[in-house]
Amino acid sequence: MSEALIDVNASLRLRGFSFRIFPRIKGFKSGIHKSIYKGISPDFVEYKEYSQGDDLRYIDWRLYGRLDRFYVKKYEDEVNLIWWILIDSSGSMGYISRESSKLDYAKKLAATLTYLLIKQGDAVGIVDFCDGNIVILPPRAGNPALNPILTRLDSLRASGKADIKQPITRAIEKTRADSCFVIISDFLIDLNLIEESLKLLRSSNKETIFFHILDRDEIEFNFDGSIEFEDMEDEMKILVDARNIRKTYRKRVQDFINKVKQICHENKSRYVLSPTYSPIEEVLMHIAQK
Amino acid sequence: MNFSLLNPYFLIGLGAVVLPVIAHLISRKSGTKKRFAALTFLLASQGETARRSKIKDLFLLLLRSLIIVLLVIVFAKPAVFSFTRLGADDASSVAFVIDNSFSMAYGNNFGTAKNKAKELIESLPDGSFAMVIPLVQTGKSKLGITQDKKKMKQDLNNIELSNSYTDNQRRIEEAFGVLQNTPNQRKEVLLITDLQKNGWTNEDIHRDWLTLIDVSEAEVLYNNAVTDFNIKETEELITSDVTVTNFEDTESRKILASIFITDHELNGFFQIEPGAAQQKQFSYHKSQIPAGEIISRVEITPDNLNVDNKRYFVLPREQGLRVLVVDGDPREIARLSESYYINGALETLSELLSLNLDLKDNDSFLSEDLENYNLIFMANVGDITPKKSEEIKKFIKNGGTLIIFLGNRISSNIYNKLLYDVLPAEIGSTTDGEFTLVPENSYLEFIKNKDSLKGVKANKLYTLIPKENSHIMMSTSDKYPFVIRNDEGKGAVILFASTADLSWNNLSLSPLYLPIIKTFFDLPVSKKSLDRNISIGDALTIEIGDDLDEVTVINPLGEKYNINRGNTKFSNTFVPGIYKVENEGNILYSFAVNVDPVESNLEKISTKSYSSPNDSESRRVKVFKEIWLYFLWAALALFITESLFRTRTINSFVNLLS
Repeated sequence: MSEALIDVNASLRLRGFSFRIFPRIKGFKSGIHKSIYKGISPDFVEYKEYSQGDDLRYIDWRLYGRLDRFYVKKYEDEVNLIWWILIDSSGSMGYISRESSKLDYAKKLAATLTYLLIKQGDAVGIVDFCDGNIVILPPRAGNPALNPILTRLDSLRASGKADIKQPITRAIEKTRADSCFVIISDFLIDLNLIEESLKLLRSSNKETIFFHILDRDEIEFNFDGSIEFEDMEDEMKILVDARNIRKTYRKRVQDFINKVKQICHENKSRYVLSPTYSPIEEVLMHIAQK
Repeated sequence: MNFSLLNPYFLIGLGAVVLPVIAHLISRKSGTKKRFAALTFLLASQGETARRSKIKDLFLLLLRSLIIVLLVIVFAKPAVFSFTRLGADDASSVAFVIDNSFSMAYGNNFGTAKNKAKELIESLPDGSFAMVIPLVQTGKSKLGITQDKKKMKQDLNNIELSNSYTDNQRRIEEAFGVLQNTPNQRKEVLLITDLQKNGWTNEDIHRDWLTLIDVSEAEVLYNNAVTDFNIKETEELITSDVTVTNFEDTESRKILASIFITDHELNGFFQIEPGAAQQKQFSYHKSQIPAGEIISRVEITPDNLNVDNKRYFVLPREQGLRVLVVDGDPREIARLSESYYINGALETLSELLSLNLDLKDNDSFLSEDLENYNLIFMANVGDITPKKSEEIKKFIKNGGTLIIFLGNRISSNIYNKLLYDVLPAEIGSTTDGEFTLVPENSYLEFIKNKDSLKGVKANKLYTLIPKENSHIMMSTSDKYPFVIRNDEGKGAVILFASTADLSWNNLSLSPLYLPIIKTFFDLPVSKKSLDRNISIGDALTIEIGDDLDEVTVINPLGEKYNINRGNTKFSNTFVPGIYKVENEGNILYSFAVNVDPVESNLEKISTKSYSSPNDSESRRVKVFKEIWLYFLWAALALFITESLFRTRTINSFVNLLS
């Protein structure tokens, strides 16, 4: 049942791709990510003049034959990475306009990404948060780690208010190794809170990817007539003439997206706008590499 | 042009105007409910759009309400119309009768009437016959019916204000009669009038084929008029009596009256109670006035109706009174004739007064023109025709004095029937007896001594039943009235209960007989100048001297009319003022023509007189021009505007506004 969360098309299409981060990390298992340590990876990086203590195995004897001096070859060391996937299950994520809600989309995105990451040998941990209720599945690597994550994702229901800072703090506390934080949310929260959270991640030297989930209705606001909108996270109601307000609304939403994008950019984070009508593979392609 | 709705009941649909208002209010209070995540953006956006949304909402509300109003009006079928009895499509035969009586000169009533007639002519359906005639015939108009609207308008233009009035009933009946020769089934007479009461002989004006169109300026019209003006000559003075009547229902302001006698002017002020008349006398010493004919006029302060603010009077001087004696029982032996003693008395009086005597028998009397006489004595005149009785009444009304002696030839029934209006008493049966006479009235106060009548006896007389306003001048000791007098119009009638000869009484042998007869000449009314002062439309016999064959009459407008001996009647008296009779530049004499003051009273006929409560509305047919299509176009235009407004096309405009 929970396997259904994995987008088959996306996983097939992204089979030849990998998900990497550029800064060197302090990994502890063999993986595809560049370690800050020069190691046994076949990828040659540079020569270094031999000095006492260097491993004699890495002396380039051919170069010694030509130059009559000892040089030691240096290689990249590849380690696996810890991915924290933080998924927002607040009430606003429950908005559904057509076949699936934002939360369903987020779950599918998270499940597919988890599958691909585990496949490339990374460890994945899940944090879901809503209304101060934070559930953490610690990072684990290998195929056995996949099932519990999918089960957890499958059980998520949208409710309560979103609080992004607390789950990030909790996840940071849980890991010491370099890790990448994937935050999947509609970010319908205070922009300052987003900025604070990002700064926190950056100060902790964590890489961050934002998947900004929005429904088509939330972007385009194609409503007509007089509608009384009721907030999904509290009791607030507002009566508007949809046609009248549409243009202003769209501008507001676009400003918000731009602002979030800007905050991410300023904090060296990656931002991926993920409308629920976009196929999962297209969204993941933004962070995938050949 | 008037506005009307052909289906006014559809106006109930105007209630639907509340629908957009209700819809607006409901939509403001509730809408489709929807749970939504991005409420933050809505809150921020609403603040910006609220103001322009409000303007837009109100504008849309107004547009939608207007569309409903216009659609309701379209269903109610608005139309403009003119009053007429014509059906919109039915060819008709119509007589447009334009009231041109002088009361129509009030304000612009006459102009309004002509304009209304022009509108109605324009609205005549094809195939209609019509004639346009004045209510008061001025001599030029003919009853010609035509289909040519140009001709109708020409006839309309030719109609002029008259200074008179006419018998309206007779005129409209006459017009309706002409319509009978036309093929159209629908025949009607449209009288465009000020509804003035005068001219209608009775209050029952209602006819199925008659429509009255009121063009008067107001419900109540105000007018002051000179209603009487005459000049008298006494031994030392020339006096003029001026009567001014206030037809208003408020006290008149000070009215200045200016009296012009030859070159002399006198002024006086009148201030008259509502609905009352005031008479004032103005006198001149004879020495101030040159000898000869006196031509005079009086003018009062102008008001809304000016034609009656002037009156004219001509007093011929040094002319004898004309007296006609009608002998109903003439004999070969003059002494036995009925009028023998009257003639004797008159001949004696002619030595004192300037008299022109004429003696006629009964037959000649019937064909005699009475207008030329001042006094008429009828002695035992048995044969009176209805026509003659009307002439007699007119003679009296115009100021003549009629003295009637009864006798064996008269029929009390005929007298009572034909002359009842002017007789001072109803004539009863004859009574035999021995009656002594007693003077009763101040008219005979010269009979100082009652004994003077001693010996005067009557052995037969008619019993007279006096009328309310009559005066008994002499009666018998048994209180049978013997001589009764009645003032009628400007004239007077004196009725003797017995004969003029000696067969029934011996009054003519009394020494008082001559003074009694002279009394009738002393009556002011006998001083009338019948031939010199007439009313508009009346005919006048022009006197042509023995040495002349032809004279010319010049009216106040300077128009000339030749009168010859073959026809001395002059009837073109349609303009008030002084007319001159001349021959080769020498003015022979003048006469005055005045409007009839009756027309000055502008009181209207009551509405119920010409329309019954049940059919007054149904008989009023109007010529409609439907204009609902314009409202439909307007509604459509508003609908398109509303649609555009709902879309972005006009939103940008609103953005600019807000």
